[in-house]
Amino acid sequence: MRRFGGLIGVILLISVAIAAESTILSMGRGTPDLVLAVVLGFALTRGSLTGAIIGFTGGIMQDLYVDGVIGLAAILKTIAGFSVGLIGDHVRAEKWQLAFISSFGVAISYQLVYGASLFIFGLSVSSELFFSGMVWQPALLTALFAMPVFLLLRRRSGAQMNSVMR
Amino acid sequence: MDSDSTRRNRIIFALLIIAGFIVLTLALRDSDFGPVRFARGVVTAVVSPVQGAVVFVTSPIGNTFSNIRDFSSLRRTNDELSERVDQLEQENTRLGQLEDENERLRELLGQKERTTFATVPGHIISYGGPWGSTVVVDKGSDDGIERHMPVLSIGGVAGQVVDTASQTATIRLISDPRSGVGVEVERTKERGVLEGEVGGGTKLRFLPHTSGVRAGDIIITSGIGGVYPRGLEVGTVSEISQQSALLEAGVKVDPFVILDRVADVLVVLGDK
Repeated sequence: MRRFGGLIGVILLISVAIAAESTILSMGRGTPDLVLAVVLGFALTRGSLTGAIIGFTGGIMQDLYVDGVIGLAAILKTIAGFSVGLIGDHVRAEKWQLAFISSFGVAISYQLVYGASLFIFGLSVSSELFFSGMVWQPALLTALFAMPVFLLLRRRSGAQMNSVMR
Repeated sequence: MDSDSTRRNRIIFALLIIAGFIVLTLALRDSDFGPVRFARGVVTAVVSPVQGAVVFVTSPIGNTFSNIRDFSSLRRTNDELSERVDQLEQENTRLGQLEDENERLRELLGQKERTTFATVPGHIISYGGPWGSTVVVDKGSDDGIERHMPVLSIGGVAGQVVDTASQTATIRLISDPRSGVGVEVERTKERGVLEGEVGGGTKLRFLPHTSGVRAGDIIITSGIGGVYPRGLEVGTVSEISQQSALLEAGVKVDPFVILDRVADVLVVLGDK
């Protein structure tokens, strides 16, 4: 029952992320990927499995809602969640600086691989994409937005741990 | 973490990736595939109310930030618009002459006058797509909007409807890399396809490198493809790269519609 509630909560959080990303935070080239931020925050605090599952769920919802190449964001966000989760498995509930650097690295890789994947699917990709701020700006914003999620979940994990210890 | 849970994690990860590839393959074969369409409806039903709530709560704050952000570009936009007004005044004079001529020809041909389209105005409620190249408007199938209807905005062609719900419609802008608009160069009548690029630009494809296209040429819809009626203004040629090694010229086009700032659109339902 608790797991079911958690799943509903995550789906709601992803829905808010998609809604916010496509409305209030839409800033043209500098738009952060809030769904990826949520995935990274969970992966860093809950580990690779949770990161992969939330990555898949968030990616498929994003693909379906925003007219993406359906399945592409799901695959890449699953990989992103799992990869950063492996780091999270080792640095869980520890330094936010390392969490930020990991998030930024994964977010920038995500942007580049997404662009390359679209090219593989035969879509035109401007070469400027790889040399302009269109990659690192959204990646930086995504990593910044992942930090509140990471810190909130880390705090919550800490509180749960303390109640168990007592 | 013990080896059993590591192994379990890897198996679940692999299963998720396989599931992703299955979905990707099915969707690439047919984006209207039944289960995909059903899943899209479910996700829209979940996210749309959340989006409505987010817009309701944050729009006053968002508008304030948006105004501040836009202030710096207002002067430049003003200059551009002044220049455009001058061009349009000249264009208007020319069009007046053409309209007289057109009227005479219509009378000669005995054709019914068809100068306007039936349209539905829509306001954009969200910007989406991985590169901001799709938008959602606040009008949907209840207002008569259907898939593949052309969409106009201030200046010319903005895109086409790719999905509808009862109260909303998703529009793929012409800057989307999956967009292809049948167009022609107004001056030379050469035909090609306007494609979007990841990164927001648009380019004109399939013009031979020996083409007579020049920077500043106006691009209009050719009517080929069945979505866009002929003669709608699309943009101007901004850059041409003639590489003799390639069979086609590299032609960049600046759309008349400022796609990353479009706020209101007209969905063309058909002829009046």
